Amino acid sequence: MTETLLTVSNLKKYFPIRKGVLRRTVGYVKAVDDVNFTVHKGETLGIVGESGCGKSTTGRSILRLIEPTSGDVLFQDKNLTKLSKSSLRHLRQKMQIVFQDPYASLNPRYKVGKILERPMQIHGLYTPAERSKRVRTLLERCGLDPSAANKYPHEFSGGQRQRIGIARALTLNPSLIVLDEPVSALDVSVQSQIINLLEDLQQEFGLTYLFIAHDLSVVRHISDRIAVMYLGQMAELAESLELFDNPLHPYTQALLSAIPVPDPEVKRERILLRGDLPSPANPPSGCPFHTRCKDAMDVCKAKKPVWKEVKPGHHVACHLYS
Amino acid sequence: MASYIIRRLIGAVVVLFGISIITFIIAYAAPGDPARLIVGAKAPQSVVDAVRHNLGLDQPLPIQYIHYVGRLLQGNLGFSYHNNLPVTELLGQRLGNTVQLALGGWIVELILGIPLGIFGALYHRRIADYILSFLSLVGISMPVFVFGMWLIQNVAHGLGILPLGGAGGISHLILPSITLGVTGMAFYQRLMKSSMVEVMGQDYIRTARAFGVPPRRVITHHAMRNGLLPAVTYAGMDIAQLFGGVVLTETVFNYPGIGQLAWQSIENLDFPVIMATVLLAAVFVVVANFVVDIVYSVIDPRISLS
Amino acid sequence: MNNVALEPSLSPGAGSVTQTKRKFELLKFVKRYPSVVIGGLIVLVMVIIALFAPVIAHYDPLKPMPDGLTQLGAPRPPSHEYILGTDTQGRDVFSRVLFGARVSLEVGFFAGLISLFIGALLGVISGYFGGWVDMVIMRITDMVLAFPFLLFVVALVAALSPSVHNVFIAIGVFGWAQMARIIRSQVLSVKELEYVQAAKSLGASAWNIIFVEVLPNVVTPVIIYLALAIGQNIMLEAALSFLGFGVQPPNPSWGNMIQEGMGYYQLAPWLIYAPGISLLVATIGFNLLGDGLRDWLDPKVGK
Repeated sequence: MTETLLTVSNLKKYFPIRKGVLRRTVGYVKAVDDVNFTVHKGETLGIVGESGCGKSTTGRSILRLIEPTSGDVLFQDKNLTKLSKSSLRHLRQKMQIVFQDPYASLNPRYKVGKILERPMQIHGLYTPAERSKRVRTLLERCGLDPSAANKYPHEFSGGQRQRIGIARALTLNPSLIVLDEPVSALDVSVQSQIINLLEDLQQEFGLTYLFIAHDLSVVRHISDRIAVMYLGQMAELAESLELFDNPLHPYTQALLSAIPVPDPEVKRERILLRGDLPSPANPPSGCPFHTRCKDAMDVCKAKKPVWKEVKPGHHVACHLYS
Repeated sequence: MASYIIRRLIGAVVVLFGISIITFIIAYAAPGDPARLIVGAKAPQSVVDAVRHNLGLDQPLPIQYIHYVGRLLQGNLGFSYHNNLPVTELLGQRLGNTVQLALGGWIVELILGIPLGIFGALYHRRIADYILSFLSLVGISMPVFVFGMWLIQNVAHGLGILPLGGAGGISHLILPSITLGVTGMAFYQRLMKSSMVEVMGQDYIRTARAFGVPPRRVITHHAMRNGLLPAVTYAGMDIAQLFGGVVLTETVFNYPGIGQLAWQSIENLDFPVIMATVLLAAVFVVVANFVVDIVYSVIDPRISLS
Repeated sequence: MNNVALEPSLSPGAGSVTQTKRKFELLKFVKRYPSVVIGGLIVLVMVIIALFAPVIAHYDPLKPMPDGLTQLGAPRPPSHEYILGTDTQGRDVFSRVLFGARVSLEVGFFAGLISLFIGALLGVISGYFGGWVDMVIMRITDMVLAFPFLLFVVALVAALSPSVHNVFIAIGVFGWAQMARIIRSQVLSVKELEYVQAAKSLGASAWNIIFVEVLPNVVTPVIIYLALAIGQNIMLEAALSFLGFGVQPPNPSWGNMIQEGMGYYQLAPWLIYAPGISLLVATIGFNLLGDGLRDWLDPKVGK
């Protein structure tokens, strides 16, 4: 039986839209709208979706970098959304984040050594000598020369900076790391190096990853399970192989058909998505995907589909399967 | 649009309230007993107490403030014991003079500053621009009263062509207006120049040039509208600055306006007048800002009003 | 071994190369940012004058000289003995100008510090915490910016009673609004950067983030603004003293010297020109320095 590390239930993040004399709230951008999933210990859960679908907001709301509007996040049997600020700060040691932009995520004014020691200083871990030793070990473990500690972030390339960002996330010995599009800003050749590094580190330190990406092909390789998001809601969640072999949601099918196949002999029908992504401030009624769905039925416009497990471990929100 | 205007109006009223509170507190904290000032130093204490009671000065501060605002709303600005006149009457005598002077200064600022700025942009990085930039720096750093004295000595007295001071007719306005406007003129020159230089470097201007639109027309038809935006913003905010200058200019030129009145009343600790002049100045500033916001939204359609 | 032998003979040569390189770079800097250099020099001279006024001045700025007035009782024009002449009471104008620099700098600097402190505190709180706190602080800031500044400062000084301290307190207390706005906008842009989010995710407290991640990135605009603000404050102090609400006679300030000389502009124009030109040069210095620093340190804002 796999152990559950993180349970997200009914997570919502609404950003208010204000108008008028009194700046009254006239509506909401439902960036994350009633999202449910669990993450098992030691696995990698990929979250995929177009930009603006709320996947990053989901990741950041879980860590409470953005305060969620409602919902519960159970992490190591503690409800993060109910924790006080100080106990949350304490628990942050166990959950870390790696950001998309390796240029913006490191303060240009400090040397790498200082950037990496800072988390340990904040939490009062180790002696100064142990800290600097640990920094060097971690740099080396992440594929950088220990002398990197004496340099400034601007002296490194994007890939190297992302390694520094990963080393920083590791300084506190976390059990969960949210990877917020960690390779999207990198060259393709560097992407696979970073993904390999992440896999090695996962094995070595027993890490659990929540891997956010906008591209299925990136997460396919590293993820045990994959969740697909559309307009702030979960469309489908299944084990990686199952999702690729047997996609149920028409949106997932469309995304999969867009992945190029290296074999020119294989003829595949490309499912083109009609129209544009609707605005999350004014999402379509019923199923949010019905405006672009090839299988849309009348019920899709009227009723929101229920998120349910149609096969063991395979969840989908679609009227085709209810 | 309506909601935008209403919000700005509420904001303006809040600002005026804040200013009235602060002036009131300053007046209250000031040394000297107003009742004693009224009856004179030799009057017995019982008379002072009676006057204080009559004026409501023995009541708690918030009550006094409420009474003060109540009187303000009825258009009663109080009574100047020093001048033995109601404050409204005192202001009325001088308001016209100050409005003329302020307008004069404003015209000098804008009428000279903006074209000089455009001129500087046209001759960007050439001798004329460098000379103009240096003069602007001097203008911006020039204390109003030093420049005023210099004009009095060299133009009014030295050349003997314009009056040394006082009010009455256009000739009395020329030197004070120049004095008042010179800092602002330098400011607008710089602002306009940098804004024009920036606009001229933009793609749509280059496109217009590439299409063969004559240079003069590029400036008047294409660049000016956008280049003017920052100047318009400041034209309103500037009134606050201008009023500071008015006090100094009127003092130097012995010009009978609100600024001179404010100065004299501060010297005499004549608080009803001080509070009235400060409030009046604040009203000018707030109204000007309000108008500028509306004008701005007309010039630049990108500013959303909702 | 070879390396060790070579090293001593190499290093002097290398040293002189870097020295000429440095000289060259200094020249390039002067050419590129002349306003920083000129403004900086003016400010430096003023600081030296203010610090060493008692050493530089030959005469007591407060004491009428025995031969300070002509037989008719008029001030003496500039001469070898009194470089900038004497004033109506027979005091040495040059010494008074030197001591006036002291007052100007003192007021300019301390008023700047007060407004920096208030502005930084409010700007950081406003920008970092946002929400209703931000709204309240920004409305107050708008209000202060709408004040007829000079009138308020004059009224406050009059209410507190005129003195050097009260002048810089009054200027500082009303002068922070611009600073608060600049710092707030800077904090707003820094706050959204991912390294601030990273610090948050590492468990750093709000004030820890403000001091370690945010404030170091706000220093540049603050320095630029401080230079400009000191120039403004010097001008304001002079205006206050000119109106009679600043430094009180017999203590010299450029403003009250001009005020005293106003009635004698025909007879003794140096009474106005000596302090007036000093004041003008000082404000030019600070304005040049501020503008130059902006071009140099903040290429985004500088035009």
